[in-house]
Amino acid sequence: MMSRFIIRLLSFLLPVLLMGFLSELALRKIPNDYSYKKDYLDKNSGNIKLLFLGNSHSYYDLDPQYFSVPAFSAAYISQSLFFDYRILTKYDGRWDRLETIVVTATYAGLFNNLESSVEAWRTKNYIIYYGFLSSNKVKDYFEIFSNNYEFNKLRLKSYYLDNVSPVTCSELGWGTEYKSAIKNDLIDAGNVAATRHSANADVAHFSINKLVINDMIKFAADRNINVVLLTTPAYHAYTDNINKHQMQLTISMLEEMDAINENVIYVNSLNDKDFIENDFYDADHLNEIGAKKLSLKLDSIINNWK
Amino acid sequence: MLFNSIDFAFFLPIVFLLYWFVINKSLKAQNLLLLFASYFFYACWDWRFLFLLFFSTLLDYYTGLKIADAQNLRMRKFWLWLSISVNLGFLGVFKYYNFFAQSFAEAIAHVGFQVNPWTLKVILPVGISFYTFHGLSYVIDIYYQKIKPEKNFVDYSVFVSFFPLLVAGPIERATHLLPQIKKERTFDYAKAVDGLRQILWGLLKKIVIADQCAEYANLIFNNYTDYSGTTLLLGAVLFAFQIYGDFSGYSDIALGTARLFGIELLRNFAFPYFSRDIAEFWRRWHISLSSWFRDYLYIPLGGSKGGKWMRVRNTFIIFIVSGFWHGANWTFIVWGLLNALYIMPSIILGTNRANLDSVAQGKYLPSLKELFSILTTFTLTVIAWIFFRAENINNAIGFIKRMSLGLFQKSGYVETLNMLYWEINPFVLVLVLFFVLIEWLGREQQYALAKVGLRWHTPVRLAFYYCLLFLVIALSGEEHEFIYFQF
Repeated sequence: MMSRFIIRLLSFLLPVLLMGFLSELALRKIPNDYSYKKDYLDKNSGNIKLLFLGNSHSYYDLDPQYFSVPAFSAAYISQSLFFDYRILTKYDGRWDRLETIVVTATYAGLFNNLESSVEAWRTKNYIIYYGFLSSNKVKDYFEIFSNNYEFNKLRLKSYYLDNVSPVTCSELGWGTEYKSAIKNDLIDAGNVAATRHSANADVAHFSINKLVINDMIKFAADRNINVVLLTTPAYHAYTDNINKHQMQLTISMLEEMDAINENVIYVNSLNDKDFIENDFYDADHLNEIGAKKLSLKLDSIINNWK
Repeated sequence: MLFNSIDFAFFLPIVFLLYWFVINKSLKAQNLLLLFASYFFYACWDWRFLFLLFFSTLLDYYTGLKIADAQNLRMRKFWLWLSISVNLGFLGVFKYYNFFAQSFAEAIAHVGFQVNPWTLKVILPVGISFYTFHGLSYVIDIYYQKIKPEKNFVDYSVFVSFFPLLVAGPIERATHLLPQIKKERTFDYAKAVDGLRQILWGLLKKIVIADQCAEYANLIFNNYTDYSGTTLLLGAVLFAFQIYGDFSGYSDIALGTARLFGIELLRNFAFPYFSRDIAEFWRRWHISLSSWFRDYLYIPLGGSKGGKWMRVRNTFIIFIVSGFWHGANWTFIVWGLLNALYIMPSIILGTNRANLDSVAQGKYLPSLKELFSILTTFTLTVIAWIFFRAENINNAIGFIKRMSLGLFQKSGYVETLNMLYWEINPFVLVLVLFFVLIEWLGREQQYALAKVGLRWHTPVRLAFYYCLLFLVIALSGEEHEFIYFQF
């Protein structure tokens, strides 16, 4: 009786399971920014001298092509410091020429983590494409369960039928989508982003992220690698509206890390007046003009520091 | 772990296969597995509250034994009240403390004193209202010598924490569930298939009906000052379907899952929106809670024995307590009170048991009188749901005021039609109509899908089930919590 039940149930579910399996395979075959970056690091980690880690502020604001040494951006949208550290340690022993890592330490990133944010669905990308087994949710191990049916259908159609590649980063891992041709209302965007970042801020995450940065610094120091902690520029509509206490906490922590560790330098560009309205895509991200400006500036700071 | 999560889709088959294929020879092992699986299921939400669940189980198990062993009435009463006070004490601290502290501060403020209430930052342990009531019914039944205490702690623990009913009921009785846990269970093919069918229907209710209606109901309720009367009415109706789909969907999945393990749980819903009066509605909505209040509150208070006014008083008490059981908010109390007022005419006139059978039995359509009664009852229920859904009393009154004043404004109709055309996916309305149709066709069964389609040709029936499954898969996105988890 039981066997009959199982057999009949499996026969009924077979088409559904088969469709699910094929969809999973097809979705995993679609190249994306995560798989691109992972493949790049697999092949080129030994040649990289300058590595960018961090969230969207690093991904969009630092363009590796403007640096005087071979650089690559392993940063990505909403990437938490925890995953930055996992990427760094994954290639341990393979960073043959790595001299400097740049970690964006921003107000938004330090008081949040990926798993508890609205972007938690991105966790699956680190599991599926980087191989970090870091979630106890089954859905994070599957493409088909991490997004809804409609979204997965669109992804399949767009890649397999319309031949549109979802890879949006440049060859060196920089986010190319924030173009100066697109004009956003910076005042409005600043208010919205500052409110969102302040509302979601959690002091518990701050303490954990501090420990993660310390681990990164120690990892780097043991391998003679320098660390640049960077706070990226933001438009005044953003800086005027963020929680001042939390911002001060962030800055003083980073300054303290700079003072204590010989291999660390803290660069605070938050209120850098060189960045004007034209450099911003939105209130806390730069467009390609601003990214070029910041990259050249940081390159010179790193060269002078050395 | 949510019933509508992928985690549960992996968890259930694993437990099922272990239960029937690996340890099917030993009842002891099966019960141990159920206990382990239930604690794991609960720990997936928050493992820290396992200690509370364990303590509550241990307390009722021990006091149950003590009540039965007590030599005199005084000691029996002592153990009974110990269990009741500790259980209700936990419930009070976790669920109601902040409400009482704040209400006290507000009341004091009215007479000119300012106090800053000390409030607790506590998470409400999921399912606490349900498993507390399980335990209470058990010790009360022992006190009244309706049952003997359970000596086997594992069996008793399974009764309290059986995972299908742990977090949102149905609220079981020891007299019904414990004998099933103690009895050897054999696999029944027909029951297992029936269980799967009920799970499918429950998932459809939750994902296809409740979650889709929720999107628009939330939009309308959260911005009710921006909308016209007819749009607010639409929002209230959508919420009525949301809460029914959500809670009865949960119950269907719970009943179906339990049936897969050879266990029958108490029925919790019996097509309440086809009720012809409010008394019938309450015999069909959240049946396990209503009957709990009837047996452990209404009857001990004197029930209907003390004459009409006693009945009126007791009815008010159980509806207010029932409202309060749902949550520490005045909205729930007013919701309970409103339902008590609705049911009063039938209590006073003695017509509250006029409609005991299913509506239009054996017929395809109801009579005009029946249809009118169903629509009237549904309208009253929808108005009461506004209090249940609103953030506070002011919002609920504002919502109803705006809805009733704007109901006959032409501009409002245009806005609602625009909303239906531009904002609300017409597919959702089609789904709701389809859902009502299937519910109507299956209204004389335990659940709508129990018999619908059984006589069709196999390919047609399979196609129908595939369609339902496809709807569930296609519309499941974010895993939305069940509303009753918060109670």
